Amino acid sequence: MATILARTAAPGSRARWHPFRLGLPFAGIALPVLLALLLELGAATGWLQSRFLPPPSRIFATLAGLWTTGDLAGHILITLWRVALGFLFGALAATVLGMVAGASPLWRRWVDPTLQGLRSIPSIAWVPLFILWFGIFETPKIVLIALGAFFPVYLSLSTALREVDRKLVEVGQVNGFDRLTILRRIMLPAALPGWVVGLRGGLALGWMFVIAAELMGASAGVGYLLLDGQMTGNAAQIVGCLCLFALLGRLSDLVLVMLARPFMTWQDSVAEREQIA
Amino acid sequence: MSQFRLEVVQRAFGERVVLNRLSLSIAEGEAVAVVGRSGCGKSTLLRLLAGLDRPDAGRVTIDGTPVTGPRPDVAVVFQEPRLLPWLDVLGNVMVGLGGRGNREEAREQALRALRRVGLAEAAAKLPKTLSGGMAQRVGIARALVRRPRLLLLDEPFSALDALTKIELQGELDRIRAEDGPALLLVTHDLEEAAALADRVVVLETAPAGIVLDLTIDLPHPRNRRSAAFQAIEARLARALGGADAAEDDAGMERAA
Ligand SMILES: Nc1ncnc2c1ncn2[C@@H]1O[C@H](COP(=O)(O)OP(=O)(O)OP(=O)(O)O)[C@@H](O)[C@H]1O
Ligand SMILES: [Mg+2]
Repeated sequence: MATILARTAAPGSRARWHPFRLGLPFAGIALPVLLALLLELGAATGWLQSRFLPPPSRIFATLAGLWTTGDLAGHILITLWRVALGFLFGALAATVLGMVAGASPLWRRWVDPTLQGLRSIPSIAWVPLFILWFGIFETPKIVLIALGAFFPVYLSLSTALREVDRKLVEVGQVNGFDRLTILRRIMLPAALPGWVVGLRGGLALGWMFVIAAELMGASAGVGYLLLDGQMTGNAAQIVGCLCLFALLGRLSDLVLVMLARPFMTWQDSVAEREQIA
Repeated sequence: MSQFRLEVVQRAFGERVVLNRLSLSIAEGEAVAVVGRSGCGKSTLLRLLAGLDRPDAGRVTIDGTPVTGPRPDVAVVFQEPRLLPWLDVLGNVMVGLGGRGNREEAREQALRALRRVGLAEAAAKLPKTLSGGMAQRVGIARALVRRPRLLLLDEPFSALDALTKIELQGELDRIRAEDGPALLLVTHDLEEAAALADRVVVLETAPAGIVLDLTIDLPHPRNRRSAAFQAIEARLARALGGADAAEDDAGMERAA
């Protein structure tokens, strides 16, 4: 990205370097870096009380210490594992049922209203029941995350399928496609962008619920570290965990987008144009 | 004799009656153009023959059997190209084959259809990179690859510039001479109707009925500057004008 942009700036042109032309990966982290510098400066000059908002250097040192002595990698891995597993189950179930909902008016009439009703229960409210059913170990956590990931995916896929342009469906009809072929070759590809939006929303909720699950009782995980930081009054550890969540959430979303991109190059959208430019 | 028959007693959308007491037959291999003002019900009529719509009262038959849905021997070129944006040009033409049969053979057939509309070298392009004229050609190739007995075209060239339009009209004329499908060409372009059709049907504004059914006995390809051709065009213009307000007549005549 950066190299492409660099090449398009003609040599000898008036503005050879311009801060706003920096490539996306650099432009995106510019603001956090600036913020960190300001915080560091604030702490050094005593403007900020580091007991409440520790400077980035201390946060980094705390995380580094946790890495060497406290098995930070293990905590990260277990949290990642929970999110991945829960998201996978939730998204899979939602994709299957979303397809059924998008393709079947019968389902929409008889089953969808019930699901919509379940959706309006705040997912965290399920926790006591899940603990009663599944005990206190991994299962209720995974189920909770799966439930969180389920609804955005289900809703956006079934909606995207229902909103497929009738004109494209007619193309299938006049060319002799049966219902299943129309679903497979016209409706599903057309609904793909909507599905990806749902997956991203589902993943974000997965991250939200992993914290909920880990705060409610866990002996490992980034959420556990967060709680541990609170118990021990360690602001640096708390903020460090927040940074970790930001980083992990952002990275996992990026992975999802990268995986989806090759299948969406056909879109004639603003976003696709920006990739080319 | 007439293989494709349409006897609409009525087709209405809610309160609005669009087609009213209209009957139209097309013989095997015959080219019929339907002209009329925008919104008079031309697309609706075409959709009835395509099996995408049904009359409230009346019947549509092919070889005497009622049309209950899309048929394998009928192909449609829509008013917009309607390409599937995620498939390349070749893939879009292959859609015309209904996704059945041997894939290699389908590719071959699709490539041949693309060559006929002069787009073989664009086979791997995505629809978003095509010009309007190219996209419309792909739509035509997708219909041709079906080798239909009846080819339905809904204003296929209306969005194109004059030169491209004449070029594609020539292609359609040639294709008809080679394959010999029956043709229903919906258009609002009187010159196009007179140039391509064996018969021109003029519709009045909704509720549409037929105000003129004119047989054109000129050899293909037609010379658009000949006196006979221009006389026919003028006659169509009068019929179209008469179907509306009289004041439009003069304007129509000037246009023709
Ligand atoms: N699905 C529909 N629902 C409601 N009204 C419709 C529908 N389809 C068509 N109509 C109405 O029927 C009338 C005829 O429409 P149609 O598309 O057949 O016109 P047309 O002759 O093809 O016009 P144009 O030349 O602009 O394409 C219009 O008034 C339109 O508003
Ligand atoms: Mg129309």
